[in-house]
Amino acid sequence: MLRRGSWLSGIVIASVLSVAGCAAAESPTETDGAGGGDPATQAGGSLTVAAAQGLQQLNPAIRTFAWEEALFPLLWNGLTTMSESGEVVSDLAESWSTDDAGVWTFKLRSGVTFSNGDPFTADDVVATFEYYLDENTATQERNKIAMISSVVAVDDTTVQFTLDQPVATFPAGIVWVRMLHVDSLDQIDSDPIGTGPFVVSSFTPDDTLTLVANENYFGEAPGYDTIEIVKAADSTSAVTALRSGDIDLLWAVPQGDVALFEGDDSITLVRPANPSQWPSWEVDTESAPFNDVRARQALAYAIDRQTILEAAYYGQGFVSPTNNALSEGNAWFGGDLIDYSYDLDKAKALFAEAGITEGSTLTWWGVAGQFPEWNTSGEILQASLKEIGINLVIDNNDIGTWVEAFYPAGKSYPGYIVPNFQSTPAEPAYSLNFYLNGRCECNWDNSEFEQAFADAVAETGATERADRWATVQEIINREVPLIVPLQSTVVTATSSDVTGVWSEGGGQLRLENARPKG
Amino acid sequence: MLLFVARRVAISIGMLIATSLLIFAALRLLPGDPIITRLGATPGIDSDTIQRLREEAGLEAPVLEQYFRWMSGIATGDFGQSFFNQFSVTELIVMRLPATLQLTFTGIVIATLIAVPAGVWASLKPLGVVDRIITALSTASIAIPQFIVGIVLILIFAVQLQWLPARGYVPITESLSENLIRMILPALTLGIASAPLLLRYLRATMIEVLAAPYIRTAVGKGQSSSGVLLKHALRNALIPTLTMLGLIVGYSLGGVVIIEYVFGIPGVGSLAIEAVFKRDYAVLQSVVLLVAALFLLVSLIVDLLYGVLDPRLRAGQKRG
Amino acid sequence: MAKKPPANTSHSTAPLGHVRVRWAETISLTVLGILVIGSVLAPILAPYDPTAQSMNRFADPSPEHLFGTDELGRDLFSRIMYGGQLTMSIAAGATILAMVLGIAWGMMAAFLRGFADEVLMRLADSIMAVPQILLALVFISALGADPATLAFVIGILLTPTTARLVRSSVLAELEEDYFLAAIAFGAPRYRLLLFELLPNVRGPLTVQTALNAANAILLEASLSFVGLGIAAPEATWGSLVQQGYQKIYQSVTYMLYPALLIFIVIWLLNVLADQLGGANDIQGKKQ
Repeated sequence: MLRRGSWLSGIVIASVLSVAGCAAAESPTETDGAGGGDPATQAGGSLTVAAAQGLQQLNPAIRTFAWEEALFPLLWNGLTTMSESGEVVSDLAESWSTDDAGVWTFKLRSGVTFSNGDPFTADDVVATFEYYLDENTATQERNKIAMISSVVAVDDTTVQFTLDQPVATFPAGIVWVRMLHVDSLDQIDSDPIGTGPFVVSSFTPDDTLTLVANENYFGEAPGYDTIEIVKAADSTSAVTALRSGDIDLLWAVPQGDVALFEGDDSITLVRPANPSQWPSWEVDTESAPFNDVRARQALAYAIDRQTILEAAYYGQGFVSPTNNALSEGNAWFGGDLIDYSYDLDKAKALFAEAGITEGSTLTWWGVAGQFPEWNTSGEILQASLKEIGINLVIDNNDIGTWVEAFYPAGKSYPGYIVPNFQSTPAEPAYSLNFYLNGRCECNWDNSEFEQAFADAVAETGATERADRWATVQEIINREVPLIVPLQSTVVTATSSDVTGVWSEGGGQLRLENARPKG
Repeated sequence: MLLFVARRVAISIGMLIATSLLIFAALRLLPGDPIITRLGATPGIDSDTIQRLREEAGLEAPVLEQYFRWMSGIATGDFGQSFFNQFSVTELIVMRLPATLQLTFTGIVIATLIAVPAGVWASLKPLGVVDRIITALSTASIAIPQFIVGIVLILIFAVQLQWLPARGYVPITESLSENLIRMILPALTLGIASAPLLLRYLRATMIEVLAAPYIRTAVGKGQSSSGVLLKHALRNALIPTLTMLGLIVGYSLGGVVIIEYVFGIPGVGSLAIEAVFKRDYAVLQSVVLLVAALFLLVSLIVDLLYGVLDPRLRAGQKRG
Repeated sequence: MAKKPPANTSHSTAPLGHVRVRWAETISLTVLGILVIGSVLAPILAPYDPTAQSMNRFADPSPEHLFGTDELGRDLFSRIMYGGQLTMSIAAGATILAMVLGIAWGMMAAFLRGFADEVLMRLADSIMAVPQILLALVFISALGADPATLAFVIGILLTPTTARLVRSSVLAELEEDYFLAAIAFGAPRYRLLLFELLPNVRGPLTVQTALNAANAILLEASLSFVGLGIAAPEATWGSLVQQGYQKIYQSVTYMLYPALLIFIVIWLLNVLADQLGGANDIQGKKQ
C-alpha cells in the first residue's frame, strides 16, 4: 500500500515526539500566566488551590483523607486551635481552666452564629462531642477524647468536661474536634453548616470544591472572596499549572519537583517550622520473623537513611538515626537512645541471630502508582538487603488491596514490611500514641511501654513529663516496633502574590489567613 | 418489522444483563472493599467498627442478594449511593455527564473534520502521493497510544509553549471561553485517536463508489467532478460508514476513560477509574453498566437503521 | 487436503490495485526482528545491570549511559532493553492466549450455528461493550500485576474481537466448494477444522495476530500509565513512560525513548497487518 509514505510519516511522528521531549527539558523560567485561571492577586479575589488528591466528602469527624484537613480552619472552628508557633490558642472558646483532677471548664465566645444564622451555644458543643464519642462514628479523634466521661452545658457559654483521669494536654487534644451543626449532618456533603470563615458554594466530589466568604462569620473577613480547591492528579500537569499561574497554590509538592521552584521568585515555598510527618514502615511484631526484637533491630541497621532521604525524598527532611518518630528538633526529644545508623554488618549479624539467614525472603508491601518515594525507598532497601544476601520482594498493589492486608490492627502479615506515614503534631501524647496496642498495625504489645506512656500523659509537671517521655522514647528505641527512617518536610508552593499561608508540622495547610500580597 | 425490532431489543437487554453479571462478579473478586479503602489505614478504628460499617453498607449480605438489590434498584431508577460520601450514584453521574458528553462529542466532531476531507482527498487518486501520505499518517496515529498523544500535546502546548492549560475543566455555564480553552487538548487527543478508523473506512468506500460505472459516466458526460463527488459519491459512501459510527462511538467511549484521567476532566470515565481504586462498588457497577448500555444502544440503533435500509435483513435472515 | 484456490487478494473490492510490495513487509519484519532479538538477548547485550543503583542520578545521555540514568542512578538504556523483553513477552503471551481462545470460540460459533452461535457472539459483544481499560483495571486490581497475570488478562480482553473475526472468516469458507467436497468425502470434524479450514483462513488470522500484538502492547502501556503495571524494580516500556512522565522536569530521555519504542513497534505491527491484509483492513480497534 503506502510504504514510503508510511516510513516518512513515522519519522515525522518520531520527530514530533522528540521535540516534545526536548521541549520539556528547557523549562521556561518566565510564567506567562497563559491558559486562563482567575486573577489571584486582587484584594478579595479568588484563590485556586490544588492537591494531588480530591476531596471525597466534607464531614470533619469522619475525615480519612489527609487533604480534608485543609477544610478544618475554613469551614469550621474548634474550641481550641493550633497557632503557627505550635501553641494551643483559643478558637471558639475564649478561655479554659482545669481543677487538675480531670474537670475542664471552657468559656465560649458569645455572639457566634452558624452560617445559616442559627446561634452557636454550649448545647452545640455537647451535641458535637456526643457525636464524636458515639461508637458508630468512625472518627480518628476517638482516642484523643476517649477519656471524656461526660460533657455538660453549664450555661449558654460554658461547657464542662469530666475526664476519667487528669490529662494535662486536653486542650491540645481537642484542636481537631470541629464544632458541627449536628442536626444537619445528613446533608453535610451537599450543604455543610459551620461557623468558619467560608461556606461551600459548589462541590463535585473528587474534583472541585468552591468556597465563598461566610457573611455570618464572627471573625475578620478572609483575605479572599472565593477559594477554589481542585484536584491535580498528576504531578507534571500540577507543576505546569502552578508555573503558568493556572493555580495559585500546590499542596504537597512532589519532593523531586521542589528544586524546580528554589530560586524562582514568582513562587514561594511554605514549609512547616518543625516537620513532624514521618514515614512509618510497619512490621508485624506478633509473627515471625519480626516477633524477634533482634530482627527488628537488624532491619533498623539495614536502612540507608541518608540515601533514602536524598534519593527518595530529594533531601526534603531530616534523617532519624535513632529511629525516633520525634524529630531531633522536637522539644520533647530525649532519652538515652541507640544510634541505628546504616551498618550492614550489624544488620547481618542480628538478622542471623533472629534466624534470617542468607537466602531468606522478605516482602515490601507498597502501593502502586502513588507515593513514588515509597517505591524508591523500597528499591534502596532492596539493594541494601541484597548485599547481605537477603531477598526483598517488592509487591505493590492498589490501595484497596494494600490496606486489606495489614489493617486494622490485629492482622497477621509475617515477613512483610509495610510503608506508610503519619502526620502528627509535635506533642508526643498525640504522636507516640500511634504505638499503643490496638492502634498500631504493628501489633506491638508491650506493657512496659503502655505504663510509661500512661504515666507521661498523666504527669502534670513539665520537667517531670519530659523525663517520662524520655523513658517512653528509650523503650520504643530499644524495641523497634516499626521503622522511622526520617522526618519528611511537606512542601507547599504558592504564587508569590499570596501571603499568610502556613502549614502545621505534619503538613496540614492553614489557609484561613491567606490574602493577596500588598 | 416489529418482530425484528423486538428481537433486537430483547437481545440487547440480555447482553446488558450479561455485562452486569460480569462487572458485579469481577468487583467482588477484588480484595479490599469500600469501607476499608475509605478508612485507609486510619489509626484508632477497630475491626468491630469496621464490621458494623460493612453491615450498614449492606456488604455483609449474601452476594446474590446484593446483586438483586442492585438490579431491582436500577429498575426503579435508584442506582445506589457512593460509599465515600452522601451523594447518590445518579447525582454523581449527572454531575459528571456534561464533561464526558462534551468531550466525546467534540472529539468525534474533530475526528470527522479530520477524517472526511482527508479520506475523500485520499480516495480521489488512490496510490497517489496524497493518498500515500494520508494513509501513512493514519496508520501512524493508530499506533500511538492515546495517553501518549495526550501527554505529548500537554508537553508541547502546556509545558513548553504555555499556550493552553495542562488540565482542568470549567463548565460551559460558568465560562464559555475557559471551557473551550480547556477542551481543546483533550478533544484533540480523542479526535486524533478516532479519526484513522473513520478515515480508512471512508476512503475504502469512496474508492469503491468512485470506481462505479455510473460515476464515470457522469464525469464523462461533463458534470464537474466536485459536483459528482458531492451529489453521488459522498452520499453513497456515507451510508455504509454509518456502521463505523457504532464502532467509533464505542472506541471513543473507551478512549474517553483514559483521556479524562490524563487531563483531569471530571467526567464519567474518571469517575469509573477512581471508583476502581476506591472500591466504590455502587458507583463503578452503575457507571460501567451505563457505558455498556450506551454502547449497546448505539449498536442497536445502527442495526435498526440497517434493518430499515435493507429489507432483506428484516426477514430475520442470518448475516454472516 | 484440498487447497483452496489462491485468493486474488481482493482486487475487485480494493480497486486501488493493492500490490503487496515485498520490501515494506521485509523492513517491518527486520526492524521488529532486531527489537525482539535485542530484547531477548538483553542479559548479554545490556551494558549494565538494570537494577544497579548509583549516585549518578538523572544523568544526561553520555557515552557511558546512552540514554542517561534514572532517579536511582540506574542506566536507562539497560532498563529499556530489559523493559522490551518484559513488554514483548507479555504481548506475546497475551496474543497467543487470544488467538487460541479466539479460534476455539469463533470456530465453535461458526460450526454450531443457530442459537449457540447467537449466544456465543452476543457474549462476545457483552464483553466488548465494557471499555477495555476498565475491565483490565478491575481484573489487575483483583489478581495482581505480575507479567503472567497481565498477559492473561490482556489476552482475555483481546479474545472477543478475535473470535468475531475467526467466525466471520470461517463462515465464508464453509460455503466454498472444496469444503463441501471434503464433507461429502466424510471427513471427520476435527480434520475439517485443522486441515481444511484453518490453513485457508490463515491470511485474516495472521493479520489479527499482528493487530492483537499491537493492542496488547497498547493495553499494557495504558495499564502501566494508570499505575497498575509491573512493580519495581522490573520495568516495561509502559511503566517507564509512566515514571518518566512524572519526572519529565528532571529527565527527558526517561519518557521519550520508551514512548518512541512503543510507537515504533505498534506502528510496524500495523504496517505488517496492512501489508498482509490488503486494503480491506476494517477491523476496528478498541482502546
